[in-house]
Amino acid sequence: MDNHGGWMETAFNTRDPVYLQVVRLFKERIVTGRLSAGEAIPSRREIASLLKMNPNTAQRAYKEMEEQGLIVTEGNSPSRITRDEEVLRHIRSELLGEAVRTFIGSIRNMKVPLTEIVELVKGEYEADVTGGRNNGGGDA
Amino acid sequence: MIHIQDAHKRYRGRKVLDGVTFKAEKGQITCLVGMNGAGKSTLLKAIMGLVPLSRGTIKVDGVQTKRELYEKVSFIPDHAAMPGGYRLEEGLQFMDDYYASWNPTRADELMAFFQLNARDRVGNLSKGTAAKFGLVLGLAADTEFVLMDEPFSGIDVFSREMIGEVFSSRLVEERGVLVTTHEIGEIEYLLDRAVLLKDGKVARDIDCEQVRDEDGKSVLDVMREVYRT
Amino acid sequence: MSQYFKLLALEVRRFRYVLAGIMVYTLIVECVAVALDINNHSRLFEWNNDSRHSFAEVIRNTQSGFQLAIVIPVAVLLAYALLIWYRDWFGRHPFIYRQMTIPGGRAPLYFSKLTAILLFVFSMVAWQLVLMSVLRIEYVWLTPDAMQEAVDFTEAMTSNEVFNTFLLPPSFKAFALNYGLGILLILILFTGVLMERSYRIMGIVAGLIYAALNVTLLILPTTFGLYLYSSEIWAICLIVFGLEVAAALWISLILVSKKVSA
Repeated sequence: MDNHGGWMETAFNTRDPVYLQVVRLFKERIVTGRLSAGEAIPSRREIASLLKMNPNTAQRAYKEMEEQGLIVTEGNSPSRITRDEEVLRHIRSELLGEAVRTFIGSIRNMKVPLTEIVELVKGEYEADVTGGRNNGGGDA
Repeated sequence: MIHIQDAHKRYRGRKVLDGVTFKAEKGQITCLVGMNGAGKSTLLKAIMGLVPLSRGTIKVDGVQTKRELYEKVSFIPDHAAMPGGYRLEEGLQFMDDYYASWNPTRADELMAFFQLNARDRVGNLSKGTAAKFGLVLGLAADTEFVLMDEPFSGIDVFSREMIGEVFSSRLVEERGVLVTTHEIGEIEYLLDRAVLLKDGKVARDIDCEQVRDEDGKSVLDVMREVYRT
Repeated sequence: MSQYFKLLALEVRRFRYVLAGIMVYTLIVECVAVALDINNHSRLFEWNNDSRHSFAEVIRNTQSGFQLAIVIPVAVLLAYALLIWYRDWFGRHPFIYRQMTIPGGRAPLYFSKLTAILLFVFSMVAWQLVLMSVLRIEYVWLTPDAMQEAVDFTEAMTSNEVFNTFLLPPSFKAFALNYGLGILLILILFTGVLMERSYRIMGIVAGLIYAALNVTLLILPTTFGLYLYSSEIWAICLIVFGLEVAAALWISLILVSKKVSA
C-alpha cells in the first residue's frame, strides 16, 4: 500500500458534490499515471482518513467508481483500478475533452482563427516540456 | 437515532425553540446551523437533560429514560466541565470511574494526538487546549452518539485542522454525531446533513451532497437564502 | 449505589482543606481561651492560696471562647450548604455538566451532597468532643499542681453551655430537637437552592415562601397549648417534622432530576 504517501490533502470545493470530486481525483491520477491499471487502492476508511473526509462520502465515491467501472472489488480483497483498456481510454478522453472544452469556452469570445490557436498551443506545449526538463528554467 | 419532536423552550421570555423536529441518525454527521442564540446549544443540552424543555419529546433509540442515556450519548460542551484545580489526568480518571463505556486506551491515544500534557491543570488551559481536552473526554468513551457544541469557536486554525481530522477518522465512524456551529465554512464538506434553525423552527433540513448534486449549491449558499431574508 | 459513594468521596475530598482549617481554628481559639483563663486565675492564686481552679471552672469561664470557636465553623458550614451546589455552576468550566450527566441518575448526586454536609457537621461535633480531652491535657499541663482541683470530667462537660444547649444536650429530647431541626434546615436550604437553579428569580421567591411555610407549620402546634396536652403537641410537631423532611426530599429530588438547568 505505498499509495499512502501520495495522497495529499485535497481541498474540496463546497458546491460540487464531494463524492464526485473524489471520483474526479481518482480519474486524474489514473490519467496522469499516478495510479496504474490494476493497482490496489486504499480502503474506504483509509481514504476517508487520508483525505480527511466523511467516511459516508468516501463510501459513495467508491460506489460511484464501481458503477462507472473505474474500480473493481473482488470479494474481500482491496479494490483495484480496472485493467479494462477501454474504460481507461474513456477516462482519458473524458478528462481531455473537458480540458479542451474549458479552453475553447474561455477563448470563444476572442474569435481567434484555428490556425493561430494551434500555433499557440504548439508553442506553449513545447515551452512547457523543455521548461519541465530544465526544472522551471527560462523560455525555450 | 436521536429523534427530537416538537421541542419548545422559553428562556427569559423569549421563545428560543418553537416546535423543532428533526432526527440525527447513527453513522451520520448532522450539523445544527443557526445564528447566535438560535437555540442550537439549548437543543444539545436538552438531549442531555441539562436543560428542561417546555414541551416536546426527545427519544434516543426510541427510549426516553435518563439512566442508560449517558452511556450512549457523549456531550462535548464548549468548555472542559472539570474543576479548575483538577489535573487532566484526574479528569480522565473521573470519566473512567463513572462510565462503563470509557476506553482508557483510546483516551491515551487522543491525548497524544492532541499533544496534551496530563499533568496540566484544567484551569490553566487556553481555550484551544481546553477544547481539545473536551474532545478527549467526549470521544474516548464508546458511546453511540456524540454531541458537540461549537467545537471550533475561538480556536486557532491549526487546532481546527486537528479537530477536522477527528471528524474524518474512525472516531466518528459508526457513531451518530450532532454538531452545532455558526461557522459552517470549514467543515461543510464533512457533513452528511444540515438542519438550519431560524426563529426557533427548522427552516431547512437537507442532505448536503444531494443539494450539491441537484441544485449545485453549497450549504453556505442555502444558509444565505435562509438567513438573508 | 456505588455512584453515590464515589460522589460522596469526591465531595469530602474537595472540602478537606477547609474542614481541616476550621478544625485547626477551633483548636487554636479554645486552647488560647483556656490558657488565658488559667493565666488570669494564676494571678488570683498568688493572692489567695486557697482559691483552687478546677477544669470545670475553666470551662465555665471560657464560654465566650467556645462561642467564638464554633460561630465561624457554623457560618462556614452553613455557607457551604449553599456553596456545595453553587460552586459547580460557576467558573470557566462548570463541573455541574459532568455531575448531571453521569450514568445512574440525579439521586446519588443529591444524596452525596446532603450526606457530605451532614458528615462535616458531625465531624466538627466529634472534633469538639476530642478537643475537650485536649483542653483537659492543656489544663493539667499549664496549671500549677497546687492550684489544681480534681473534678469529674462530666462536670466539665456539663459546664460547657455550648455543649449543653447546642451540641450535646443531656436530654434525648433536646438532642433530637436540635439535630432534627438542623437536618431540616439543611434540607430546606437545599430545596431553596434547587428551586433557584430551576426557576431563577421565581425560584428564590418560591424558596422563601416554602421556607416560611415550613417554619410556620412547625411552630403552629405549639400555639395550641390551650387545647392540647404538651405530649400531644409534641406528637403533632413530630409528625409535621416528618412530613416536612419527606416533602423537602421529594421536592428536591424532582427538581434535581427534571427541572434544574445546567
